Amino acid sequence: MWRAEFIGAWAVLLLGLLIIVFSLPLQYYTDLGPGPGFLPILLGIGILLGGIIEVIKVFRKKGKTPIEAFLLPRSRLGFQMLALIVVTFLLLPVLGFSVGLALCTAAAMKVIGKQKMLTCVLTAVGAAIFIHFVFAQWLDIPLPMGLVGW
Amino acid sequence: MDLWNNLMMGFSISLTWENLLYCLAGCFVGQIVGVLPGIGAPTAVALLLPLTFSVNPTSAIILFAGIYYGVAYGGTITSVLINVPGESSSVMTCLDGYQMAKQGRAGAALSVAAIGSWLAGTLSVVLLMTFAPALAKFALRFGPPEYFGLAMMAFGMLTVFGGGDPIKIIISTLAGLFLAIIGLDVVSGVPRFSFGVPQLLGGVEFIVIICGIFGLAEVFNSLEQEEETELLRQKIKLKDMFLTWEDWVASRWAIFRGGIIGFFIGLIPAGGITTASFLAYLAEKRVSGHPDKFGTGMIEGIASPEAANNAASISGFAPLLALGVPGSPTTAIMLAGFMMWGIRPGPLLFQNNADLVWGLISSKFIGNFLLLCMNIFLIPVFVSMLRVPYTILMGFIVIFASIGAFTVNNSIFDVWMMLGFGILGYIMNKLKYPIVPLVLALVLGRLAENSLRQSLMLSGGDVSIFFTRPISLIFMALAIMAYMTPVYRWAAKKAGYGKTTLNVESL
Repeated sequence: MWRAEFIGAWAVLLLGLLIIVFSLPLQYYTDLGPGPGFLPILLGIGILLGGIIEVIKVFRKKGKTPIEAFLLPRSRLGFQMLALIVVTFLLLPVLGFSVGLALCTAAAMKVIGKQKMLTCVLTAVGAAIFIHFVFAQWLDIPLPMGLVGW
Repeated sequence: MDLWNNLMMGFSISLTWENLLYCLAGCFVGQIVGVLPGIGAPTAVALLLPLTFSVNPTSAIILFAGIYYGVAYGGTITSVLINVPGESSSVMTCLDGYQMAKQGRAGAALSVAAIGSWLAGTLSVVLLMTFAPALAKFALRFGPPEYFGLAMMAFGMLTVFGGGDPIKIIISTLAGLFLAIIGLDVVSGVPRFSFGVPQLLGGVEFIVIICGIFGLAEVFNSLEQEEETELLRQKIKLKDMFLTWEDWVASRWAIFRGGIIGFFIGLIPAGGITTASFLAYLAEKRVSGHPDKFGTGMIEGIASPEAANNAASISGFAPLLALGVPGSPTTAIMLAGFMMWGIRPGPLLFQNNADLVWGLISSKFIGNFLLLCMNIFLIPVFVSMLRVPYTILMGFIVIFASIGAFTVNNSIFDVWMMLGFGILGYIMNKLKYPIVPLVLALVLGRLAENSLRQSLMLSGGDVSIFFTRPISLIFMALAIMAYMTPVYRWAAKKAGYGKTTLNVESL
């Protein structure tokens, strides 16, 4: 966890720095008053200072706090879910929203929830019908359609 | 008389079949969301908000309000029956509620929570009816410096009530402000931080962020939690739901006190319903003749925090409607909804959209009554919801979040961005960077920047404008005091007073 906090604190510091760098080309002050770069620079400085404080705090904490893992034993479930979502989003142009998201739900139930195949299939069919009729038909959302036309 | 006429006009709107259905649906969904651990009111409202593009704004806001206070009711069920708060606002209810359930009095615990919430909710609506219009009238005097001061005060209050590391709260707030300014600058038309990506010229859509940061992040975080809850196998009959005279005598003043505390905490920007229930419990323990018995199944220990969280969920609408400043993440999302429907909350809302305001206020009387009935007669239905596997719920969160993000611009780019914010939310949660300040800053960011720039234009760049106008001065003074919280805490620690934040374990 210490390493994650260390990286997190440096990421904040870096974000502050980047905001300042990208704000520099923007006008800080104009004849009318504060320009488009006024607030971004102040925010960048604030985040940078916050990052510096966090880095110092994390350094001072080293070895003093009990070891707490950033990733827990069940974190792999989260990563499995993330992988499923990424694959689904990549396949959305082919499968369409209704079928793609319904398959994602069924896959998550099978892989993560260890549900029975029949339950997963029924949920997938139900979810696809729900998405198609509620979102695409009733709410008239132009969801991208896939190969099956849904 | 005006008040009465307005209320009657409100009832004529909220009692239409359509709005009654929206109110019922909102309360029912809120109740379910409250029961299910791993999904909260902000998530539910965030996921449903994009689906209300074409709905009448009054009906949509009645629906979301129903969800918001419905959650405050629903969170109690899991607190009492499985010792796991469905919502953070029901944490205090676990202490005495679960003990009562173990003593075979789950029905009385759930009943006092429902009745207390209803009474305090009704009291809060009555106070809201009188307070909100007065606040709106007062806010007509606000100019850009006052609005900037108000935004600063709202951000500052997060460091007081945020209950985490104040530096991380400030970083999160600044990050939210940064996200809010991405896109074309409204004054000069210069693109900021869009890096040539056309989709970013219009800014990062609020709905895309909240669907990711509340919806998907919630899924990743919940999957990590160990499932070690056990439902108390206790059959709750209808007759168990009625309070005895002794129960009523013991809880009536606790309900009243909780309601008043909740109402006033809800009015404070960033006060929130969780803080209200914490403070109400603490206050009740302090005034009690037997504080040592709290945590062993005292009915007052349920009545007061439950009354407070419901009262706060209702009074939280006062700053939203009258000032356009949200008091909690859920009302922040609703503010985004108002903007989506082309309505600007603030002092003029009471004049320009009186039908919406009074329709909403009157619907709260109806919603609270519906929830009271649901919580007395439908408890077994909601308990059965606890048996739904989380993976099904998780699948539906992903569906709603993805479609919600897509709906904003009908763009797959937004869906990917939503995933990115989901990962960001997960990491922020792991590293204990609070999400609520980011969301509040995001929604108030444009208001804060515009009012800051307008104020400095008015004063020719002189920052004393914020300290020479009385209302602005008060807001800025409160904001500075709030931002000094880390210093107070550090000084208190040095002086040996220990941790000054609220700590459940110590109660």
